[in-house]
Amino acid sequence: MKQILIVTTLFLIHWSCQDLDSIAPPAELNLDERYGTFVDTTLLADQDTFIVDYRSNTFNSSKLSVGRFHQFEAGFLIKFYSLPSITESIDSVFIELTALSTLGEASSDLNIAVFSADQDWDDNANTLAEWHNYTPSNRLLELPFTAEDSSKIRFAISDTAVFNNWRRLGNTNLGLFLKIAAAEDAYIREIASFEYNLTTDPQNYVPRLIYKSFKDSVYVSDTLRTGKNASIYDYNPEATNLFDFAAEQEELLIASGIAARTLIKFDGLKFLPKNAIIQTADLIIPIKNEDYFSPSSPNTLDNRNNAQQFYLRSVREANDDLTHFVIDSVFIINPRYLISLRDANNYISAANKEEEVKLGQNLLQDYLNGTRTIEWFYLQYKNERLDLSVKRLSGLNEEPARLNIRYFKVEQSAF
Amino acid sequence: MKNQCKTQYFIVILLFIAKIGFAGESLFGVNQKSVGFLHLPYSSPGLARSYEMASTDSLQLNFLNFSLWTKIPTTTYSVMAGYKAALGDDGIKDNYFSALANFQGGFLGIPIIKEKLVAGFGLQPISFMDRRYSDTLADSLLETIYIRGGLSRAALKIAYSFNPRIGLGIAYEYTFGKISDNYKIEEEGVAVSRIGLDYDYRFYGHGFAVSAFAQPLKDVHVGMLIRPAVKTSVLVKAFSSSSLVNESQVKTVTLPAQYHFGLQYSINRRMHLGLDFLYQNWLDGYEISNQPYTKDQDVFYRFGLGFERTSSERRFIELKEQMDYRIGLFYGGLNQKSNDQSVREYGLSLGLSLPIQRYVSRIDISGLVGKRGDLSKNNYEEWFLSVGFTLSARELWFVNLEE
Repeated sequence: MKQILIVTTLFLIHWSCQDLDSIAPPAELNLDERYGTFVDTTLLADQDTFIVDYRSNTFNSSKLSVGRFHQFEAGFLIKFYSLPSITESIDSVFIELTALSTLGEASSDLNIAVFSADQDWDDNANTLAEWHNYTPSNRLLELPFTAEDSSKIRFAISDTAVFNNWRRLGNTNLGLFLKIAAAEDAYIREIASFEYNLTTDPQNYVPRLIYKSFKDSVYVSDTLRTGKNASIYDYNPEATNLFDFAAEQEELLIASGIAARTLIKFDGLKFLPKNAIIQTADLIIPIKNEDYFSPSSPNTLDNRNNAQQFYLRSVREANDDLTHFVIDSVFIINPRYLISLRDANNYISAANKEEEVKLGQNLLQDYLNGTRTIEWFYLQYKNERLDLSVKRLSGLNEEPARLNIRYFKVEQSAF
Repeated sequence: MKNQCKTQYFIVILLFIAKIGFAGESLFGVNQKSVGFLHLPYSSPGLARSYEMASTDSLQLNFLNFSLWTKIPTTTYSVMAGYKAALGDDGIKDNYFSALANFQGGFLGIPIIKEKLVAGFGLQPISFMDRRYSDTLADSLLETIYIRGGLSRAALKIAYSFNPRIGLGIAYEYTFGKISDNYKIEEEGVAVSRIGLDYDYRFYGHGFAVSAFAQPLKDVHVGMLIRPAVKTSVLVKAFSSSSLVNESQVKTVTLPAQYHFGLQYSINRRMHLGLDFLYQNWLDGYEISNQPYTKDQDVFYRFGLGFERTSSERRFIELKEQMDYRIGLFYGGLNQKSNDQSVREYGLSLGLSLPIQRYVSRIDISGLVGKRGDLSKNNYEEWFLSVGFTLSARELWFVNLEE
């Protein structure tokens, strides 16, 4: 009897503690009306603008750029490790670089000048004025970078005196500076930096210096890897500055290298119901894929070698004319606010559903909850130190950016 | 013996491994603004015989009519637990199986003046719901809702018997409980898009009830209970990503008055016939925020008719003569409509009482089988089964044995 009771009790407890199967709700439950309704709405941008930063920081970039294209000029500083103090006199030096891609059509070889840098620098050199339009006095050589893509660029530097000074003790290693030799437009060659990581075998791509020294009647060959590097980007338009042109046309743009960021304001956020729970949202920004110089052609400055990914930030503080604004930085500690957009052919939009959720449920919901009040959003290249690229976007006059928002409007509770 | 144990363990393991679809207590009782499926406030003996209002019992506390507690000679407690199952059919996907096991009430009565004045307290559920729904809306939106919880009532009771034929009871009752809604909505197959809106509704309110019994004839007892409408406050607390929605609100919900009446006729010392009529007008008496809420509400009522054969009072008799046997029939209407039609239920009840220690403690077992709803009218119908266990026992508290 006791055992029967125990078994029965266990059976009942077990049966009564299982998960519930879902079933279709009866009409009387009125699920559709129990709490509220779903709403899909679209907000159009009310204001937009862009800002340009000619001195953005190019540190940690996985690419280096050199060349000139549509008056955008790129060069780079590179510093190899210093030689051991006991190194014998350098006999010969080779530099090996890996070409990745080009911005602009590589119709011919690119003539590059190699200089010995004459002052110390750091990998944030692009932020400092002295490195722009920089031409050191010690020109080591001029050589052609082949027009072929994805190939090794290997060249010898005959003036070994510079390298003989690169010993660790008592001498100075200021590195090299490479820039286009002539002033005419060509294209920009993109090269793997020592931080290149876009492949499974990055060590085969990074720049290296190979030297030979003569010791005990034999030649000894050794390799120096890169200690630091920094791309330097200049923009010296001979005629119209395209950033000015875009501003006159009331267009938008975002750019990397010469960093340009777009700001878009949606006043309509103020008028969303405060009792809404946002499910997803997508920011749609139309791309104007026209060349600045040949409007019937696609935008040649839109660098398709770039991953075409972007970050969307919110603006925490701003005055009316945007002469002062502060970008919200909570994304640094809270990845729920790190929102990625992508180039989806004709539009920039959320990179995937997860980003739509982050934009809606986190960033935009804050506006409804009153924890954000500035309706400006800030769009930038995800990696604007990587390479040169200028993406042309439609402004309010053509096709304004829009926010597609899906929210659940809570109208009542069950009681 | 060893093999028998192994077999029993094997059965237990099988039962634990088996996964049987399960949800709540009934397919009914979950309409909009529902406080749940109403719990029948009977003890196991009452359920078994389908009447309790006028039942005199010197060992078990009457769950429905506490004015009869003056019949108990010493401190007595009765605690009930039960198991309920229902097999539902919606005409499309049949075999909706629901089951639950839970506490169904417990009371303690302490005689202050023997057979005159009894004080007591106890706790009893009023309603219960535990059900999960899912539905696919337009744009491939999948919504799910999990509704669970219920109301209960704690009571302090005093019963006074003016003479052995007339008694009166009054109770202060505190109604409380929590109902939770977990509402989720997401794009089908895209879990990351899920948004949640959860609500907790916490009920609390004061009330009272009056009950009485009378013995107008030698073999006839009558009993009644009136519980005026209970106005409860409801603290509505939402949990969502919206600050505004999450702001707490207090609303009121009025539970309608209850009127119960019962009659028992004793054929002889061991055989009794009885009936109960329970009534609660949810159609007109249910209010939310002081406004009548009539949508899908209905009048709850229940007729019960039963027979009981109690144990022999002789000593040294067989076990079967020490047991009570009960049988009853019931018919009634639920407090909520389905498909805009009233829902009826009817069934058969059975039960017996097993003495653990004769005249001191016992277990009452009840079993109900019945049918609820009509598929042709109510969208659903279900066969239900319930099994109840009430343990009743006496203690000698506050009694001077030397007297």
